[in-house]
Amino acid sequence: VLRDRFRNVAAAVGTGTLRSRLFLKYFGILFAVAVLALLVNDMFEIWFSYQDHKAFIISMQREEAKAAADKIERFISEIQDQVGQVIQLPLLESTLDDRLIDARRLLRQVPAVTELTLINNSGQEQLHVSRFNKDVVGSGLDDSKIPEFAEAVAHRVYFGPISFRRESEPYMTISLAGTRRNTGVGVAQVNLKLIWDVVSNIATDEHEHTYVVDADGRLIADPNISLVLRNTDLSQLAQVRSARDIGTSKSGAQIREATDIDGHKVLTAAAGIPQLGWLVFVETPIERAYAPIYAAIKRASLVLVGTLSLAFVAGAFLAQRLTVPIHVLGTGAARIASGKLGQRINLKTGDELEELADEFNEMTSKLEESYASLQQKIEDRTRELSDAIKTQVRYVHMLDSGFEAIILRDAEDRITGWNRGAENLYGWTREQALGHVVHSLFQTKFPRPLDEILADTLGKGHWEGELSHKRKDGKGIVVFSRWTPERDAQGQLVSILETNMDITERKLAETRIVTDLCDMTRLNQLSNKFVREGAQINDNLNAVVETAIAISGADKGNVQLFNSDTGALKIAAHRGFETPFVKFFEHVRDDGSACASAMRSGERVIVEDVTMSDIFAEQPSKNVLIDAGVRAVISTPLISSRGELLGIVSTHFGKPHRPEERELRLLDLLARHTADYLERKHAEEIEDILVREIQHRSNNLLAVIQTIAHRSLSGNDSLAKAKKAFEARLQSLARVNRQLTRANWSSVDLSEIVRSELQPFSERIVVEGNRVSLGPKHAQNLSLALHELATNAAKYGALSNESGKVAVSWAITGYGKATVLKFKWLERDGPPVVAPIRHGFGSALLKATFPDACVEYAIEGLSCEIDVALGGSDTGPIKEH
Amino acid sequence: MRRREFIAWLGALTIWQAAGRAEQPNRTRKIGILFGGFSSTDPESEARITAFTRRLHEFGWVEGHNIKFDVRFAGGDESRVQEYAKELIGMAPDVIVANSSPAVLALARQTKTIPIVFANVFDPVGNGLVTSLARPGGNITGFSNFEPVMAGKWLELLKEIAPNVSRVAAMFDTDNPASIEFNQTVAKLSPSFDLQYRAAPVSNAAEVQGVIDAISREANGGLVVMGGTVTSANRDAIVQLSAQRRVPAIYAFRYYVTSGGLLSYGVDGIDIFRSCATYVDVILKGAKPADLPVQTPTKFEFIINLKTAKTLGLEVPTKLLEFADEVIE
Repeated sequence: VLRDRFRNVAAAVGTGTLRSRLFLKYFGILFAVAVLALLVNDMFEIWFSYQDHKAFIISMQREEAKAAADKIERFISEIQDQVGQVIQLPLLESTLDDRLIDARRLLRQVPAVTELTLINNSGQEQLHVSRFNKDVVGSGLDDSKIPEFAEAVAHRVYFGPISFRRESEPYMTISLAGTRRNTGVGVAQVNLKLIWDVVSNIATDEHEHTYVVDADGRLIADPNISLVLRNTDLSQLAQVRSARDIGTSKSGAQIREATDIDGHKVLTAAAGIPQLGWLVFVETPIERAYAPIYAAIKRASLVLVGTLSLAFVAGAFLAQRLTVPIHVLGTGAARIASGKLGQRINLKTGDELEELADEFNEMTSKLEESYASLQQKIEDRTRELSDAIKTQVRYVHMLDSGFEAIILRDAEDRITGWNRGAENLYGWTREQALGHVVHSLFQTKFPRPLDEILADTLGKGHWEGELSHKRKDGKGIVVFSRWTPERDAQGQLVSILETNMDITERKLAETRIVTDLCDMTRLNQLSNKFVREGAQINDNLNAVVETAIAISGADKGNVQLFNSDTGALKIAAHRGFETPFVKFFEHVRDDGSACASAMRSGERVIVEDVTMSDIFAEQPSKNVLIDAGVRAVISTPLISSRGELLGIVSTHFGKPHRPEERELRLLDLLARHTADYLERKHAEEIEDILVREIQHRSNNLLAVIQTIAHRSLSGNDSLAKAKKAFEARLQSLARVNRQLTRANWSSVDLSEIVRSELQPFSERIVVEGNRVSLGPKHAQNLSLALHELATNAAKYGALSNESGKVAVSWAITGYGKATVLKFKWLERDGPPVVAPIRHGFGSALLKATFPDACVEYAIEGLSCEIDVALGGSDTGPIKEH
Repeated sequence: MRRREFIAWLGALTIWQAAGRAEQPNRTRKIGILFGGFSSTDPESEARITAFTRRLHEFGWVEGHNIKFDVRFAGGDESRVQEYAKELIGMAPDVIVANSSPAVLALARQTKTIPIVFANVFDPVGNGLVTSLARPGGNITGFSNFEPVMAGKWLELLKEIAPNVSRVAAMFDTDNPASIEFNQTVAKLSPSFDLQYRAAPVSNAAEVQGVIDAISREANGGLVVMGGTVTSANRDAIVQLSAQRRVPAIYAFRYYVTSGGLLSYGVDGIDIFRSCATYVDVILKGAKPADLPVQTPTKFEFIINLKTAKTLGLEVPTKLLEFADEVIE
């Protein structure tokens, strides 16, 4: 706006219209005011001063005339007084000398008096004193008839007519009669020329014309002495007439303007000298009188012209002063408008315009600053913008190529913008997408009603949340959608920018994590369960099955424990299976099944599809599985820390299933936990067995020892003998116990027992038999039996001579619970067998230990056969109790 | 109107006005002054010139400013009077002031155009300077001095101060027409004062001395010294000789008495000179001498030197003292 104004002003200034208009206006006003004021003032002044001056001049003249009249009157009366003094004393013959002196004094004192004549009362001239002539004393001339004497006597005072001496000086006689007796009459001849000296002393102005006329209107005193001397008659002059009329009739007014003797217009004033009847006029030529007026007018005119010129100049100057700064301001503004901000308006008017200019300057400098900063800002902004644009381009590029779908839609939710991200995400091209209603295109599922979301968007300025969309290919995706509304100036919704980010994967991952967490929790719970005291192994194994099913998402599952004795897997826990399946897989050894396969390999076996698997090909188990609704199996072996197979965990799926890595890892974890548990459980069992076995064994041993002692000592043999036999038997017992102990009381190899029992006769004993492990009881028993047989042989049998031989052999028959060890002792080449008279302790012990033992005392040698039922007594000693 | 033009215009106006106003005083007026009898060293000359210039000054004429004086003193020398008259006229002054009859006569002979104002001239009508006193008619006007009747006054006053005087010698310039008329009056009136008259025309200092010597040799001799270039030029000698020879003398002018003369009765020469200034003024302002009437003296003065009277053994009566305008003691 400011710039526009500047531009307007600048335009106006540029065309000069404003300046000339302002200039003319200001100039016109200023000039007119000045002219009017001056003219009116001068007119009034001139008029009033004209009137004043006229009145003043008249009054001045009148005053001067009066003053002159007074002077003349005083002059005359002085002469009168002087004359009066001379004639104060009687004019007698005797006093003539004194009068002469008086008269001479008078002449000396009054220069105007040129002659003085004293006439006595009878009219005789007594004294004549003159300046020009010799004095005459007592001439006695008869003056009684002359008017000077007669008039003086009659009226005491007489002013004679004016006479001109030698055509030159006006003279007048003044006669005065004495007031006393004989004082006579004094007649003074007065030179009126000296009146002029008196009068001229009054004149203040050289242009003033002061003159005196006598009663007849004759000029008697005038600066132009020649006029006086020419005996000029002025009685016809209007002013003289008028004055004389006033003097005689005491009426009328003295005219003020008249014509003088030279025909000049004059201002006139008069004053009378009543005593003499004279009139004193003071006149000023009108042009002279009004000269000051004219001068004033002329001066005023000149001054007026001057002041008008001055006013003109001042007007022009002021207008200039007014307009130039405005012009300067204008051009300054124009400069500012044209952007030349570096320049300043230089105005030193010392007034508001300067202030304005200063403000302009300040504004300009501010503008400049702001312009500079603006430019800087613009540069910055431009840079920023170009950066931003670059960034934007990058952004757009990124946006366009990015994974985020950016969709612009109008107020009716019709798509108006569609980036490549959207294309990528949804599958529709831009052309396909534009114009569609976004929600119907995407088949959007909103977490809340659309109206609420829109209200939120408009209310808060944005909205963000998760939406379910359908892609063009129909695949559902979850997007994180951010809506930003755009409003127009009226606040009406114009469009909404919708930014959609595909978070389907994330959502899945989240689900997976949740599942993992859940599974881990389950595993953890299972571990806790394992650790918990007092839990039954079966419960725990059931939990293992459940956990396995849960973490692998299987439908069914089982746990099989491996029996190392039997080498078979036995279902310890299961879930989801019917009897046929359980029956079929109750004991698995080495057959066509996943568990068996796992058992064999010690590694996990995955059967993705039972029907397609090689493992189950042609196997009866295949049908069993299919019947049980199993299409996929994962069997994970449970391996102890020592690498021994403890069992198999299998999960079964109703559909073909390819396990994920995490599923397998989780199963591994489960397997590890379970294996650890089983191992621990096993160790606990062994410990328990050991403690119990030690108790049992020591009880057994003591019972055996008790029996041995009893048998050995209850015979007929001497004590020493009995003692020796007892000791030998104890040694045998100790030997087998040592072996058993060495074997950790688990099992002792039969051949080992035989060898150690028969070690003293090893060259004459032949042993034949497979490796058979015997439990501690069987071992002890067999050991004791062997000891008795050997002792008997050494005492009585084949080993009692030098050539006799014993053959020991054994074999296993049957299996399972029917497993029997057939042990055979056969003596040959010994002394001839004699059936014992009395069955010694040996045979008793044998019979007590092996009731089924068959001893034959054949001639060729004694033979003994013992059947030891081994079946079901893997842990023989344990089971025995 | 541009400021510069206006200022120029204003300046021109001022100058024009100043020029208009300065027209009169700008031209320096030349005034020639010719003294017939006085020398340049005479105090009377100085007194008269001073009175004259002062009066002119009162009228606004200032020497060296708007007027210029050219003063010539003939000192009673007739030839120099002629010479100076010619010289002054040659200078073409605006007006010439002439003191004494020989001077104005010399001038009048040589110019009919240059205004001449005379002072102390006797009978200007009689000697043809003017046609009449009221209307001089030519280029000459001025102020006359004595009338011949005044000679009676001299005799009267001489007789009153020295009643014993019975013979009187009337000393006057030989070629001064005024003096001749005066002389005739003296001669005519002498008997009425019981005086034996003797004319004593002088034309040089020697003759002056001769006259005084002659009268002093006679008993009761008195002397009347009239105005004139010769008498005024030799006034010191006259006064001294009169005193030496104890001759009572009455003079026509005051300056004789201030120099030691016994008494004088006459016009005030200085006053007349002062009056001349008024005519010079009006003439310079354009008046024509022809219209300016010749004025007769109005002021007379009677001066007594009591000291001289005492030396001469004369008693001064009251009637003289009362009449005396000035008493030198």
